Amino acid sequence: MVLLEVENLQKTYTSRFGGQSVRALAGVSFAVEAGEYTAVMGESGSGKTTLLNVLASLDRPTVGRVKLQGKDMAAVPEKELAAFRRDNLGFVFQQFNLLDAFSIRDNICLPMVLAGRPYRQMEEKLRPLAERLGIGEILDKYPYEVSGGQKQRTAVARALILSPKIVMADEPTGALDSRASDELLRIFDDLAAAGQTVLMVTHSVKAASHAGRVLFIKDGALFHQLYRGGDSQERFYGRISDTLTLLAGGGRDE
Amino acid sequence: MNKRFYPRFAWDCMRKNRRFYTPYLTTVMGAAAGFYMLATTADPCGLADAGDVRVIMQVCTAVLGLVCAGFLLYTNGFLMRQRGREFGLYSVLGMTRENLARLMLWESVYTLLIGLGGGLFLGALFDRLLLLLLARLMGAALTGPVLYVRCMVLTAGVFGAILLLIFAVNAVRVGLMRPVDLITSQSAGNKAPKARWLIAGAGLILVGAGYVIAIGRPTLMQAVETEDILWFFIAVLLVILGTFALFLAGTVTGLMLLRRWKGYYYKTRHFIAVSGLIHRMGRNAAGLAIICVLSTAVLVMVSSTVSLYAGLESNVRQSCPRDVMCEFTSGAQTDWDELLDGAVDEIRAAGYHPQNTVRYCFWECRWDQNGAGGDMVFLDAAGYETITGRKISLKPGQILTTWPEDTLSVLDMELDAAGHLEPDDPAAVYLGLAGTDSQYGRQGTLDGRHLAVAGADTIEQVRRGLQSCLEAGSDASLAFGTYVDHLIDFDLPAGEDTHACRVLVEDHVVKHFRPLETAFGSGCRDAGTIRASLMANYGSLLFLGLFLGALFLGGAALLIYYKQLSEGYEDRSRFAVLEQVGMDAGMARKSIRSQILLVFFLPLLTAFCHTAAAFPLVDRMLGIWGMYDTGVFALCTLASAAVFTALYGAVYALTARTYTKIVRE
Repeated sequence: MVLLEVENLQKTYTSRFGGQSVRALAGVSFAVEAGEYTAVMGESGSGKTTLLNVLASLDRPTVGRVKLQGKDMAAVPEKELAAFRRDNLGFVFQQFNLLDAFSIRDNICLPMVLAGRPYRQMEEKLRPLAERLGIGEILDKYPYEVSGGQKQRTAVARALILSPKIVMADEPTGALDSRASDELLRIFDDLAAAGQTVLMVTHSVKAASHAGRVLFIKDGALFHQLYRGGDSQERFYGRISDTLTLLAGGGRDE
Repeated sequence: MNKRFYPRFAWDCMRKNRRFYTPYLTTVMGAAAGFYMLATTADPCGLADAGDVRVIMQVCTAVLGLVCAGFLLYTNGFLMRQRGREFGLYSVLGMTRENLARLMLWESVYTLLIGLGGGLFLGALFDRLLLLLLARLMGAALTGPVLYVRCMVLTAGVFGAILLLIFAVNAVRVGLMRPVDLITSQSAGNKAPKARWLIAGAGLILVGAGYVIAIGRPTLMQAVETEDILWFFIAVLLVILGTFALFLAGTVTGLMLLRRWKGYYYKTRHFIAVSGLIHRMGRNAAGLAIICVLSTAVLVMVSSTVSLYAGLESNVRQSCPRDVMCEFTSGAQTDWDELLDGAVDEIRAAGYHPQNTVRYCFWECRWDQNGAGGDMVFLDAAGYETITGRKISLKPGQILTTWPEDTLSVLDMELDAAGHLEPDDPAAVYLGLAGTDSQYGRQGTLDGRHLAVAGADTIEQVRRGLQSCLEAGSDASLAFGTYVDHLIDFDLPAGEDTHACRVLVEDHVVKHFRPLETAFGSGCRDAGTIRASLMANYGSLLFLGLFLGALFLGGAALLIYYKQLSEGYEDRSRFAVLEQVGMDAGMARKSIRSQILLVFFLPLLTAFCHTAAAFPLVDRMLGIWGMYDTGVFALCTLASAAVFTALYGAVYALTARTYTKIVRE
């Protein structure tokens, strides 16, 4: 089943006085199946983050459509967009984006509270989730009291608590050391294995090599894609690496 | 390193930190200008004949110096926190502590030069205007020099010392820190506050104790005493300490309690609000407490001094119902009518136009015999008639009295009451017996003192009776009035000098008695003299109230600005996150906006609370200065609160624009 459909997505930023315009996305099309673990790779400035923002409906495309389960996201009125995002999408960011004012527990519960769920339901969902992510012991601490890896796992828990259709991650390992990165990637593997659809934007080959499919974008356009198939992670890593070399070399054919 | 490096570098640093330095320099300037101007009002070269006023001004100047020191230390702390990262960077780039200290020293020098120079300039510019205002309020003439060199030196000394202290504090603070601490010091403020039951409880107790004193003393103690002032300051101290404790720990602890209540806390609206407030209160507690204390000070000072000034005329009328009031007494047999007629003729000849003339005899006595005694004020029937316009006829031995019984016995004499008077009879009010005298409390009690109206002959008879009883060596005692007083009171048209006129009357009567070897006494007063002396007092107090009120308001405004600045930087990132996790932007903005409103108006609400609690005690203290009209004071308090709220709101609205600008950046 196709979960997310992206059709000819274009995004042009025009400076306020209409002088220069920058084309961040130049017609991107792809589809994500339910349960798929997809990584989007590209250099800095290639349009990855713009793509994610448009997919997340944090930004509107200039041209093109994003459909979630066949429903056009452009048809969702501005007012319901926040609720739509909350109910369907979960986010993990490079800088964690946790709120200092909230304890770890409250940070995780935030989307549920915003959705108006009763407190009992929160407790029921929070416990097993926190245990699974290894943050059951630190629920009463505050973000400044825990390590980067723990913060990111908190962010993952926050993204998962409303059982979203897709988890979107923007450079989730970007601010973590290698051990914390490995742990986080293992968590993503587990999620994918359990059938969770994951869309990750990254420029780390290692992170991408955990995905089932890697999309490469360059200058705002889809350049290439690789399926992992039956490859081992190490082999897939090699293939991604080779593709990147090609990408950097500027070639257009493989 | 180049000798000129530090001066130039320090200057660059200050320019780069304009957003934080400008308000700081403005504070130093404003404080120095205010200090200088207040010091000039206390300078002996200044206003003539203002002895008492000068002492008050000197005390206030000293207090203002201390307040300035505290306030500058606090705002400097804010400035340094904002610059922690910058200093950290410098030290990572290889500046030693000595280097940093030298940088800060130069910055202090510039601050002193700009702040003190600007302050003295502004002070000198507006000082004359301010002194003119003071002179006007006091009804005095403006004298003294344009520039007060002595005060300038004093101001320079005080602010030099304050800035040196601040420099020392900063140097120690930076010296104790490692570069890493400096870099992270900004985010250290983000620690979540903890519930502190002990401090919160202490705060409640302190504020409660202050309130009990302020409200309880006037209710329990009948008489106004000078001790009230002492108690007032004790209450002020308790409430200030309590306010700090409550803001530092109370609000956070209370909110924490709410947070424990899961069913309440985990609701969309409460969730964001409670956590946000805990966080904000934790970081802004001290600043908010200062804003609250300053606001309360402004409200109490302005309302009390304005009401003193507003009640000036009624106060004059209470102690002096007619413009000129002369009272004479003598043992000599004199035709008083003729004598006073002569006095009136003389002042008429001198060009005065006495009106509403009242003449009466008045005899005040207190006697005591084996515990049986009385305290009576006798007024002659003719005088009663001129004062009240009420015609009465009394037989000899008859009286009209406030004494509740039908007969009044004065030693062995019996006086019959022909009728009774209310305690607030117009004559009693006119003679000052109707309980507005500070000694007798404010409830209008006569405290055992009664008015009796009788014929002049009857009064003289009673007087003789008492006198002979005493002379016969009885064991009775008599206090007051050996002889009956003869009085003449009148008004003058506006513009005629009541004091000069009074002196004429007094001199005329005295001249008559001078050749006689006889007992003679006189007690004269006039509205003009009383008004002038009250004006000097009330005017200087009003001046202080308005001046310090304006300064404190400025201080509060500055703190609000600083707080908006720091909240703005914090909220910028908070908006983004809330939007990402699925709160729509409008709702997030509205929720944060309302939290900010609550945070900034909490001090104002608390200040209203404090002012209301202080009302009864301040109301009584005003009595010490001769102001008894609670209604006027209540009105002034409400008016001050309204004006202050408007100004506070304006300050808030203006500074909120800075906040919005930062958040939208």
